[in-house]
Amino acid sequence: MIWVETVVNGMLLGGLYALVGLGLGYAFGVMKIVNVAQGDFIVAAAFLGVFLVPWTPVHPLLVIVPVAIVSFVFGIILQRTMINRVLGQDQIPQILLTFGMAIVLRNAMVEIYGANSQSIDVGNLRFMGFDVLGLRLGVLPVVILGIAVALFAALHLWMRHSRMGRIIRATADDHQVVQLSGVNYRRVYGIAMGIALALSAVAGVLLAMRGSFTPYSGADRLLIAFEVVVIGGLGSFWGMFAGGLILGVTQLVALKLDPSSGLMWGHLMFLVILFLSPNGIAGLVRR
Amino acid sequence: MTKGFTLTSRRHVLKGLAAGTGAAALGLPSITHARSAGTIRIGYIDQLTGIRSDFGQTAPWVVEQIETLLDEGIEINGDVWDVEILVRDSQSDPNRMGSLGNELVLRENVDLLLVADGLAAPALEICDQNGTPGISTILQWEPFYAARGGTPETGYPYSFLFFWSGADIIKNYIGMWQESGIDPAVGTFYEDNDFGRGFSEGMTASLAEANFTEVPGGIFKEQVDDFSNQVAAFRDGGAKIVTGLVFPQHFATFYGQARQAGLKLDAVSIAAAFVFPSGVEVLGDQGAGMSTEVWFNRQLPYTSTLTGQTAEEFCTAYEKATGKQWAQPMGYHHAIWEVGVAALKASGDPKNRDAVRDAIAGLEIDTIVGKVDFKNSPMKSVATTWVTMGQWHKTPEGSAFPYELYVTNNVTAPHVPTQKPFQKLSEFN
Repeated sequence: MIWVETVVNGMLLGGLYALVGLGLGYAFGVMKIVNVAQGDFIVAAAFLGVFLVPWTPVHPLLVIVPVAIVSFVFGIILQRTMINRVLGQDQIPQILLTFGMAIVLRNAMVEIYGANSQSIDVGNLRFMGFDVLGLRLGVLPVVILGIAVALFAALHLWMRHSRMGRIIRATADDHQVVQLSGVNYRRVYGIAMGIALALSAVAGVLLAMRGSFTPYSGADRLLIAFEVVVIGGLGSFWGMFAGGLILGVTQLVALKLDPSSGLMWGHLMFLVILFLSPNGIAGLVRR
Repeated sequence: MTKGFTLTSRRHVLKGLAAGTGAAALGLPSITHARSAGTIRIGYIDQLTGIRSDFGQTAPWVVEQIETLLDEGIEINGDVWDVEILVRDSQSDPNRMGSLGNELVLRENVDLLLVADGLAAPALEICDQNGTPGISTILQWEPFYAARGGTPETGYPYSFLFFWSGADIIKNYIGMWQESGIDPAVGTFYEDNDFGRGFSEGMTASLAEANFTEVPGGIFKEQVDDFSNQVAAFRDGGAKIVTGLVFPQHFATFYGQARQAGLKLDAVSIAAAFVFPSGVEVLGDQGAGMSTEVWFNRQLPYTSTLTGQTAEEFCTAYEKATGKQWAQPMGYHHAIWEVGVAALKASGDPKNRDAVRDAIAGLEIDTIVGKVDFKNSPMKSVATTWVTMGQWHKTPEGSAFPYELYVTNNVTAPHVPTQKPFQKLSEFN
């Protein structure tokens, strides 16, 4: 039974990991942009959450809404004023740009907030638990998994059935050709980056509710995001979701066996999957 | 960093001051000072930035207070000496500590080096080699000896330390639990670093000796986001007490999951996380009752020999000036100056290195952190100070800060008065 509990806890953690990876995977899938500043954006969104929580009505959990909106707008501005300028055949300028932004963001956060660890106070929700089928689970992790699933499903449906979703998919396929149909691909990129950052922002706020963070947490978050995207396979939402779950479960099962080297097994799992199927789980399914 | 900047600029001001006094020595009239016997140069190294900067956070304010105080100079044997203070930031980095030691001792040629940093060894070694008196603190005496192969019998020629012992900390933890009457089942988990591993070894041995049951949660890496395994182990092992060396962000995650899982604890005693108020505040309104080691707090009945302030007045002045809550290291940040200035005065000649060294070795002084006694210490080069246990309590509505730390158990230091009785966690909230 205790093993079942470990696996279930791993899935609860994995759902959140999947959400951490989603923003990165989405930006890469649509624009072939590797946003190295993703981890630090996640942390910045968490700080924004800490700042906005006192003004959030009804329940602190709803702070994800204003944070997502702010991040969406910020993503559009960022893409249109900076990243669009360096796009081209060469990937390097864009990676350098986001890498530089990551450093600026991190140091700005240390300067403004100091290096202390912070957490978003969601009141009693953080400490509540319930019994189901003989398992004791936390309310907050279950709510977080629910939010992650809902966001994955919503994004999937929106991309599939809305007009904007179709335009984004077409742009992702070939951003030169869509211009023949009158699509300004730079504008589409702006919206895609807005969505990517909004998703990351939600992940950042939820992480800060579940645990806590410092301005230096960005690098760890980025590593998780990369692993989720690679395990899951680029361009597949549900592959990424599965990638998050696999990473979460592997970590917790391994941590149970050995608290000091458990994290390494998550990284090993990542390598094994990369070795077996370079296109991740999605690639494995497609084959 | 603004912190670094203000310090640097102050240094420039001081250099200007030093130039001014140099001019005075050349025979030019000085308006503000009486003719000075010379300038005493004091080096001060602290961990103002970097991973251990929590411990240095209060230092800039304390040093500023000291600078204002010593602006008038120090009177030694009827002569007034000007004082120049050279503040350096170790950035929590042992390599930088060594190069700062070189800079201050060899290039700046300071008359006394003060180091309030856990990694003081490289700088102190340079003091010993060069024959410059050095005083350190905020470093347990076991590593003070171990780092450079010293022993309590041999000591070191020119470097000194006043602080408490790492072994005392564990005696205090276990003593507090024994006095509380809580079931002796202790869940333990530690950060994977030198301090965590050291604490783990000492704790496991002492728990076995004191007939406690240990429920080991292991040593974990810094990147961990989830503690459900530790929570399950503690719950299934019947742990009533949880201890370890854990950073605040990790403990907050652990505690959230522990409460979700219905883990009922009577005591939570954590080194590192609860030394500073921020580690308790991150728990929201669940921070009351958390316990940790206490080596300075505002209720102590001690006063400063330099300013005459009580601990209470000293902490209040800090809170007023900075808007931040007092923190334990500030007592030692101040006391190291009390010890240094007292030694310079007792030496009779601050420029005579051996006289200053002998003055430190013969010092017995009641500082803001209590008695610092090198004279009657059985250990060479070291004066041990006290360490006790305490609990965080909620402050009344309308206070500037949400939590306040009180001494609850004085296992190894019966001369330090307890301030509140120890209470189980269930008695809070």
